[in-house]
Amino acid sequence: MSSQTILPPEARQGNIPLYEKFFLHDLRLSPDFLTQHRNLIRERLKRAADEFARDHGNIFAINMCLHAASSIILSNPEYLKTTLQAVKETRGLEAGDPTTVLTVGALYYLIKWDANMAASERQTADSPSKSNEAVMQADRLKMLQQGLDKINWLIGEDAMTVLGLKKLD
Amino acid sequence: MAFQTILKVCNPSPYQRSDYVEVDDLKALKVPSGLDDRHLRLLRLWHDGSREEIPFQVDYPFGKKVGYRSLTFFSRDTPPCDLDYRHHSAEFFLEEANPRDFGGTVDSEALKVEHCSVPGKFHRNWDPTAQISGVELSNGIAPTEAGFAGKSGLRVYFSLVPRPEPASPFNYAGAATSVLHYRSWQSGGADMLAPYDLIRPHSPRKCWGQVTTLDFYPLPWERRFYQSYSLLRPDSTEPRYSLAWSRSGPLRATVTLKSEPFHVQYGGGPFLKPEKAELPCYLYRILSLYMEKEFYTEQLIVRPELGLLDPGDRISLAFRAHYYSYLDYPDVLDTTVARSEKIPDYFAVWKQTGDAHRGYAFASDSHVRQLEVWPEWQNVLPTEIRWRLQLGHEHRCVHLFPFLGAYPHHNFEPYHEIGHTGWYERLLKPLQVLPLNRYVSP
Repeated sequence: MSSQTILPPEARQGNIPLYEKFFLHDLRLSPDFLTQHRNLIRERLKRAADEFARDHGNIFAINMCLHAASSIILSNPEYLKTTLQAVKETRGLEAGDPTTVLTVGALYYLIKWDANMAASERQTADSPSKSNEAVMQADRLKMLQQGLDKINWLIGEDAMTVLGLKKLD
Repeated sequence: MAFQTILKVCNPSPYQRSDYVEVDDLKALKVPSGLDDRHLRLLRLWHDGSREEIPFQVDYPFGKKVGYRSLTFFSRDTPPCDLDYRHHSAEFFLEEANPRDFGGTVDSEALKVEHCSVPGKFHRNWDPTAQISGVELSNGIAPTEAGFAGKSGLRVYFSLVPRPEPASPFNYAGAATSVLHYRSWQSGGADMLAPYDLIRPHSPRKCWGQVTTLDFYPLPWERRFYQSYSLLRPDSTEPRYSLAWSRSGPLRATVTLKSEPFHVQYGGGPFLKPEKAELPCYLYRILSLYMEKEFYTEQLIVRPELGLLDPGDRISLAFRAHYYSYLDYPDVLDTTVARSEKIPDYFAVWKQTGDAHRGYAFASDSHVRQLEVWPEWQNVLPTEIRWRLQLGHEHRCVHLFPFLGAYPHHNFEPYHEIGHTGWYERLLKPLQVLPLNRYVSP
C-alpha cells in the first residue's frame, strides 16, 4: 500500500475528525509549528520504527511514539487544560484517561502528517535516493501504524471510532 | 595468625531474597585496620557444605586518611528468617587471603564514576588533589551504548559547585542536575528531571535532592533555639563540596561529598564537658548506585572534626536536613502524591501523561516531614518539591525513580515501589550481618 492510501478519508473529504479537532483546533497547534520541527518529529518516528524491527522492541517503539506526541502537546500547554476537559466531556471518551486519548490522537495525526509529507517528497524528489528515502519513511510509518492497530491504539476500538482513528486495511 | 571470621546474615522477610548486605564499619567485625579488599577474600558457605568465593567491596567513605571502612557484598538466594533479626539463614567466611580477580566476571564498564573538572570533560581516574566540579555515577549500560533494549539503570550527575559555569543562574551545589533513566531513555525521554524537552528547552532550574539547610538542636536543658546552617548561602561565599571518596568497584559506584566546614555551637554545661564549644563540622553525603537499580542511596552524616577526636570513630551530630527538588513539567499536568502519615518515611510524586507514569520517590529511615509539592498547595508555581528529615544522626535515604511506560498497560500503584523496594527492603528490613552493627562505634 502506498503512503497516499493511509491519508484519513475525512481529511480528503474536508471533514475534520475528532482527533484532528483536538490536536489542531483545541490545542491550537499550528501546522507551521510542526513544519518547524519536522526533522525532530521524523527522527523520533524513524527511531521508533527501528525499535519495532528489534526483538521485543515494540514496547519501546510504542512508548517512544507516545513520548514524541506528548512532547509536542506539552510544548504548547496553554490550552491543554481546556482540551483535556473537552476530551473528558466527549460522549464515548469519558471512560478513558483524557491525556492518553489526546496523546494517541496526536500520534495518529503525526503519523498521517508525516506520511503525507513522505508522499509529497516522493513526488517531488529530484534524485532516486530522495525518492527511496521517502518510500522507506512511508513504509516505516505503515509498520508503526500496523503495530498500533494491533493493540487498538491503547484506547480500544470504540474510542478509536469516536476519535476517528481508522485501522489500515 | 591470619584474620578470619564468619559473617552471619539474616533475611528478616518471609520470602527468599537476593540483595546487598552492608556493614557500616569493619571494626565491628574486628577486621584489623589496614586490611581491605586487596587483602581479604569472602566465601559464601552454602548449606550443602560447598564454598563459593564472591566479589565484595571495601570503601573508605570518609577518605583513606580517616581509615574508616565499610563492606558491601551480595547475598544471593538468602532463605527467609525471623522477622526481628534474631537468627541468621546464610553464612559467609571472611578471611585474610589473596582475593580472586573478578575482572572477567564483573562488568567494570557498567558501574562507573566519572569526574568532571572542567565543564564537558570527564575522566575515570580520581585525583584526590584535583578540584572536581561534578561527578557522574552510572550503574548499567546506557541504551545508546548497549544497542539493545531492556536494560535498566541510571546515570546521575551531581554538581559539587554552586555555579558550574559563571553564568549559571542557580546554585546547584550538591544537587543531582540530571537523572538519565535507561528505560525512560529507551522510551524517548532520557532525563527524568525534564522528560519532555524534545522541543521545548528544559528549565535550567531542574534538579533533584539538593540538601539546602541543616538544623542542629541544643541539649535538652539548654534555653536556646535550634541553629540552622544554609548550604546555599546566597552571598559571594556560596559553599561548595569536595570529594572525600570515589570508587566504582564490583558492587557499587560510590562517592562521598564533603561540605565546607561550618560551626555548631555546643553547650554541655552544667552536666557535660566542655561547658561551651564551637565544633567545626562537615556534612558527608555518601551516594551510591548499585548495578541496574533505578535508585541511588544516600547517607547523611555530620561529623565534628577536632584534633582531640579519633577520626576513626564514628562520632556524629544529630541534625535535620532540608531537601529541594525541581521537576521540569508544565504546571497543568496532573500530579499524584503518594504519602501516608501513618508511614511518614517515604513519599512518591508521580507525573502522568499519555498513560506513562514517571515517579520521583524518596524514602528514609528518618521520618519525612513538611513535604511540600507546590502545585498541590498553591496551584500556580512550577513543580517544586521540598521536604525535610526529622532529627537523627545518620540519615539513610533512597532516591528512587520508578517509570511505567504507557505500553504495556500497568496497574498504577503509587505506593508499591517506593514502599517495598525503596523503604522496606533497603531501609526497614535490609539483609543484615548479625549481631546488628549499625550506628555502633566499637
